[in-house]
Parts: sequence; C-alpha cells; structure tokens
Amino acid sequence: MRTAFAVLLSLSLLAVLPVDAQVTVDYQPTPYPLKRNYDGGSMPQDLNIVHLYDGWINNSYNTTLVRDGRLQTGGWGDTYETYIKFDLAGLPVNPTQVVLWLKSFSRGDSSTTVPFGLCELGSPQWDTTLTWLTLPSAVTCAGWFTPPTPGNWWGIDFTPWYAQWENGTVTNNGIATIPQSNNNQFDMFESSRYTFVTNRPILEFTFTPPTGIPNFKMPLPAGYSWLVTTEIGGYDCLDANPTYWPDSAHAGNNYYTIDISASNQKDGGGSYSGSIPVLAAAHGTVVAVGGCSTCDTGYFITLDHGYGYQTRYLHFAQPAARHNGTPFAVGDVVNQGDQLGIMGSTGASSGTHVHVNFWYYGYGRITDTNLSYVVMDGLLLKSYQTECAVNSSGVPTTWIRYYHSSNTPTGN
Amino acid sequence: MSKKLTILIVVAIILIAAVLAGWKLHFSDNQQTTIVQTATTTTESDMLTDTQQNNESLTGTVTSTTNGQFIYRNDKIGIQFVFPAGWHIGSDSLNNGTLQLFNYDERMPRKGFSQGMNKIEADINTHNVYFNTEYPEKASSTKQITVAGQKSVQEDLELATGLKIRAYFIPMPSQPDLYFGIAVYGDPSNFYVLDNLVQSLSWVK
Repeated sequence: MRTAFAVLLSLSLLAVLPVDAQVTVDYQPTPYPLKRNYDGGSMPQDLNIVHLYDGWINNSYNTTLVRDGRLQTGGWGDTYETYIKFDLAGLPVNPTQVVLWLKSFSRGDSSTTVPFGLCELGSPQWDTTLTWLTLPSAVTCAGWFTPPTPGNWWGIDFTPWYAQWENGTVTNNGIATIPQSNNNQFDMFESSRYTFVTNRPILEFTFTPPTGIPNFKMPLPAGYSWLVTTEIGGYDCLDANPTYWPDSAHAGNNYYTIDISASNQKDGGGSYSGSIPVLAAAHGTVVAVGGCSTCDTGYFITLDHGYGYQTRYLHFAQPAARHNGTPFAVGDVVNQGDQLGIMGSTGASSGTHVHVNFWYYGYGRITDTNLSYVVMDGLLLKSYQTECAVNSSGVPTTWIRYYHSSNTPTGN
Repeated sequence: MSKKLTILIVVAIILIAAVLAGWKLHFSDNQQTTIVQTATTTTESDMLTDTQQNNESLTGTVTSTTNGQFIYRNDKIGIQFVFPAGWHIGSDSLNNGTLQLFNYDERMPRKGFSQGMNKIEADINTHNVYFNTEYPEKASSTKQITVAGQKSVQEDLELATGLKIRAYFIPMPSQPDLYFGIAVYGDPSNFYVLDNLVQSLSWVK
C-alpha cells in the first residue's frame, strides 16, 4: 500500500513540476540586397538593421570591404581579413551558450590553410565604407585557432562576447579574423551571400525556455511552405520604401510580428488551392475577436496561451470562425491546428496575408524578452526572415523565402 | 515490501521519466522547419484566373452596362452601385463580412499600395467612423454629405505609415442603427472612383 502511494506521489510530482530543460536552435540570417526595389537606389545598410553584415578586405588589391559569397583570411604576401557583425535585436537574451559556425570550403589552388585569431572589434563602427586605412581597433583577441578543414564546419563558443554586446559593456562592432601568416595560405568560409543557403554562417543558441512558453507551430496548414514578407521589427528585403520600411505595425508594441503571404509551395509540387485557413499556433483561449472592413486590423482574433503568452491574427477575409462556420466568442477554447478564420486582406492591407502578433501580457515590444525565446516550428521568431531574388542590376524583384509548416489542421 | 525497495522503485520511475522527457525534448528540437527558397512560380495571369473563378461564388450579382461599367446588386442587403472597368470583385461576403473590389491582383504577395493601386472595401456595421487601432493617425477630416437620400459622413485620413484612406458611412434606410461603410485604400488619385461609386448607390428594397 505504502509502495503504491509512493509511486503515485512521484508520478504526480513529475506531472506537475515543469521540466527545466534546455533547447538548442540554429539562427542562420539572410542577407539584404544591396539595392532597393522601389527606385533602384542603395538599400539602407545600417549595421543595426542588416541581420548579418559580413565581408572581406585586403591590404593591396581590395582595400574596401567586399561583400560577395565568401569570407577570406590569409594571403600570399598580402593580407586578407574577414569582418562579421550580427544584428542581435530580437535574439535570445542571456543564453546559456552561443556558438558561431562557419562553413569552410577549398580555394581550389595550391594554397594551404592557416591558423587565425579572432578579435572583438571596437571603434570606429564600420560599414560599407570600411577601408584598410580605417580598420577598427580590437578590444580583445583570441587565438591562434586551428585552421578549418575545407568542407567542414568550423565553430567557436561566442558566449562571452555575445553577453558583453547584450549587456552593453562592449558596443557590438562585430569581430574580425587575423591570419597568423600569409605564405600562400587561405582560410575560406561561405558568407551570408553564398548561394547555397544552408552553408551560410550560423549562430547556435542554447537556452532554458521560460516557464510555460508554448511549442508554437506556423499558423498555416502542414505540408506546405509559406512566404514570409515582413519580419519581426518591420523590415524586409524588398520594400525599402521609407513609407513602409520599417512597417510601424511590426515595431513598438508589436515588434514580434510576422506577415505571412498566401503564396505557398506544396511539398512535392503544386500549391494550396482555395481559401487558406489560418490555424491556431498553439492551444489557447479566445480573449478578443472582432474587427471590420473599415478597421485597420480587418477581422481578427486574439488567443491567450497561458503564462502571459498571446497571439493575434489580423486581416481575415471574414469574421473569425471555425471550420464549420461557427463564429468565435471570447472564452472559446481552441486547440493547436484549429481553424481561426480564412486568410484575407481586410483593413489596412493590400494583399492576402496573415499578420501574426506574438505578445507577452499584451505587448510584443523588443523589451519583452520572453518573446526572444519563442520557437515556432523549430525556428526562433527572428529566423523568419525575408530573402529576395535580384535582377541583373542587383535590384530585388520578389520575395523568395518560404517556411515549412507542421501545423496539421484539426478540421474543427 | 521494505522501505529500501520502495525508495528504489520511486527513484527508478523518476529516472525513467527524466530519460523519456529528455528524449522527447531532443526529438522535438530536431523537428526544425525546412526552409524553401525559390523564385515565385505563380504568375499574375494564374492569379487572375483564380479571381475570375472566385467571382462565381458572389452573394451579389454583377452585370455589365453598355458603356463598359459594371453594376453590383445585392438583394439581401438591398444595395446597388456602379463600378468602372478595370476593377474586379475579389471577395463578396457582404452578408457576413466584407465586399472587396480591387484594380490589381490582390493574391500576389505585396506590401503597400504602389502608384495606381487601390482597394475598395465595404461592410455593414454599427459605427460611422473609421477604426484605426493599429496604426497612429497622421491627419483626418470629416464632412457631412448626402448619399442616396441619407445624411452620411465622408472621412479622409492618413495613417502614420503614409497610407491614405477615404471612407463613407451611410445609414441603412431599412435599419437606421446600421451603416453601410465603404472605404478606398491606396493611390489617392483614384479616390474619385469611390466618390462616383457612392454617388451611383441606390437602395433596392
């Protein structure tokens, strides 16, 4: 009897106590084009906006920063250095560990690899105008590191520098590589502009998620990949028109907000036909529902997922309703994958899409750091970035980055 | 059963549960979303075909006039108006939601309204003012105007994003507590289309 009681007690404790486990996710930022869509002028390349600003520079032939598909360190009499800076806005705060991963490749000539140092950069802050004569100073340097093996990933624990940049003890001016020698020696890495997206630089985050944070899925049907057109913070690669860039509905109290278009690709070919259902990203309770055509939100619904986490979905084609047409009311409970409404373009919207807010106790500000740990379909919210195709003149022409959903409609 | 054995059983259960929880976490971590990157495969003409197909499910009716314009009529709501060539009805659920007209393909991914691009959107509601809770308002003005015999409100506003909107709120003669709200978004040089549409409006019940 006592044994049975003890077993039941321990099982109950296991069910009630939250599992304080760590998660590890990769963040692989996309590059912004160098020109803007609406007039072909220069795309703003503010180092605090561009997700990953990376390039290489040489003391002899390319004395101004070059931003192509590679990052070079070494030299043959001359010296090549690589410069890298991540925009940290919206990324996990105070993670347990951050690892920088770079994919190495062979230069395809007689050169060999070379040990190199990594330096945390100080002033002046560098940008597109960086030249060999204006290189920033180093705050601290580490190395010499073992050279990469071409074809393999090379990684370094980035945590101390990340922490310094986050807490402001050192301004985030990025890092630079310094070759140990330059006797026909080169370390080659893929940059953020490398064509094959999975080989671009990665930040690997390990952190303990806050208590109660839901396991979100994309709010659109599984088996399809969906086009993201506006990122958290309101930026995107295509529309740098100052009128819309950044989009003020993705900033301020709504920083953690993503726009997902109706444009989609079905696994194995084809696309979703007919009206597109917007699905609950996680289990929750309806806390607001309403809207109209003469409202900037259009038709919308807001869900509370517990522990302060909320999501809101805007611009439905019609008032929010279940798959069977039953309108939603405050207090209704929904399961992950339940239909909330039909994707539309009501209100201040020019094309069919869903605008998804992530809130913590009613706010989605950049200072609501609990939202920096939100993972949706295995990716941080910050990872839902846009990428654009460019024409022969380098002018972006369309968004091309689709994200795969695993949210199976319940058919509610 | 001895006390020692009881403790051993409890510890074993906790260990098994912890291993299972760890496995579940590891498993879920590996379910990272796949990113697909490719040029858009849907063409503008594909989308227009879809839009034409959508028109088959209109709750109102659309007929063409001899001068190339179109008449929209919704007997359930009791409303009729004229809209010009170059516009199409993208969605018609005025009986439960919205009626939308576009002079572009609304299903293509886009952001904002380029030059010449406009959307007209209508609903039946209880308010006679445009609700902007999301975007701060940069400027707005209203004026009284008579539409189809009803004392109505015309509102012009510009949101902080620069988006310009003109809206009309027209009391429904059959239901005085309700308004036929209709707004045009986008290029202000085409706002006259809404002005003309509103002037053509008539009640059909």
